[in-house]
Amino acid sequence: MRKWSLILGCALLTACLAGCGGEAKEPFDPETTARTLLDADGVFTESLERLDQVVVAGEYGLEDGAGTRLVCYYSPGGTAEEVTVAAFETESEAKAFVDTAKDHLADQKEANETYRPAELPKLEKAVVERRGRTVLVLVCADYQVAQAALDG
Amino acid sequence: MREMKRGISILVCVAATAGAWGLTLTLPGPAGPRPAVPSDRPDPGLVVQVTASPAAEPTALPAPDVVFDPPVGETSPAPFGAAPSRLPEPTPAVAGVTVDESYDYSQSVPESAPVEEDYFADAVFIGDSRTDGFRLYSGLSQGDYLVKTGLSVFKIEKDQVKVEGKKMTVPQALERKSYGKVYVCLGLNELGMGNDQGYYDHFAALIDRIRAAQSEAVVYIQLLIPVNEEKCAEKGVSEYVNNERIAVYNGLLRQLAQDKQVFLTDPAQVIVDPATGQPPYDAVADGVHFQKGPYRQWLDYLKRHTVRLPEPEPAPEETAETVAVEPPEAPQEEEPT
Repeated sequence: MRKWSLILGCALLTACLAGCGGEAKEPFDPETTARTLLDADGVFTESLERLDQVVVAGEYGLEDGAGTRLVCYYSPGGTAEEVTVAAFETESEAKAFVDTAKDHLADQKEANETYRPAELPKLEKAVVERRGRTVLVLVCADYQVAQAALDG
Repeated sequence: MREMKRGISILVCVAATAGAWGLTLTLPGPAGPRPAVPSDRPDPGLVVQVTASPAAEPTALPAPDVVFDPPVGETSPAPFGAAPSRLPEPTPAVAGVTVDESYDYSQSVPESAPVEEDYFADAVFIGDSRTDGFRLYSGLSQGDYLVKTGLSVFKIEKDQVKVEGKKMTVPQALERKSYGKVYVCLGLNELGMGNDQGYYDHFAALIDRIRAAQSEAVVYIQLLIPVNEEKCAEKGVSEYVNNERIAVYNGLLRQLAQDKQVFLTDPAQVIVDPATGQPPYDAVADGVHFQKGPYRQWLDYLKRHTVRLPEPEPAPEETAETVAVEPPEAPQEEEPT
């Protein structure tokens, strides 16, 4: 009886842990993710402009490799708002990009500190999320609406 | 009766002929002679020499730099029923305006044939967030940028820009590499300083620093493009960022260009709406910074407004008879007190 209780307990614990971990989230599709956020009302306060991939690569100090897809919509100057979705060939590239993105956001904070202090709260809450070989960088006006849009 | 019918027929024929003749005169046709087209702009195909104009000292605020001509190659659609607009003007054949002793540095560089993008391969752009926007959205993939949001001539020795991942001041960055062209666009962040003389002096000092570091480079100062004041007010942009102040600074930049003999560019010519003297409301994000389109127009303008400096005369060859001359002794400077 005790043995069965132990086995049952282990099984429950395993099931519970599996449930807590949830399903691994699907990687971001650069085009779809960016478009979803751009189309959601209230995520951004202005019309963002798309940057050429070579410019995005330069902005983040990346080699514009053939296997890298970078979709970036950026504020034309009025705000610090941005959505960048990057897809790499390997997970290690994506992990490295997370650090690069954090450096980029730190630079943005520094640049906006005196010039546009009203943008700092957006930058404080900026999202850098990696899913497998893809990374999302988001600076926006309403993160709840953004999350809801991403959750579909 | 028959004669009457014949008379009517003749009358009808005459009327029809006259009508057809009238139509021929009225309808424009590709084969017919083109009507004379009035033009208040000099033919750019002929303009390679700038006429010197007396540069009067401004006693009042200079008028905003507004040009009422559409950019060459772009024609505004004529309203329905309006008289035919000017014919597109021919593009000048030669890229770059020739500069000689008569060149008027207080005027912006006249239009010439567009250069290729590789013209900018040895160029560096120095500026604030607007130049950063130009970097991001103009589509130009050549050249270097020494840019920072909020960059100001007043703090040019202190503000740091990022070059290949390293932070340094603009003067430090200029020491690292040799450039063929230097474009400077600074002034919007300085508008609120209330120190016009200081703006002139600091800008002049920057030109001196550029010349010292880049003695071979062609230096272009970019006049400030007006803002859209309605959108500035909506977006809460500081009140000192206005077109009256911009016009004052542009007057100072014209004076500076003349004093330092550097070249002026005026990208407002292709961005500003001639009717309002401001960029269109929809062309600006916050009144000051542009959407993508105007940055591309800006690049197109720069391609069409370049100068060609005369080739330096070859140095005389040294011969055996050349006598070496000792440099004169430098005068003794007084010790600072």
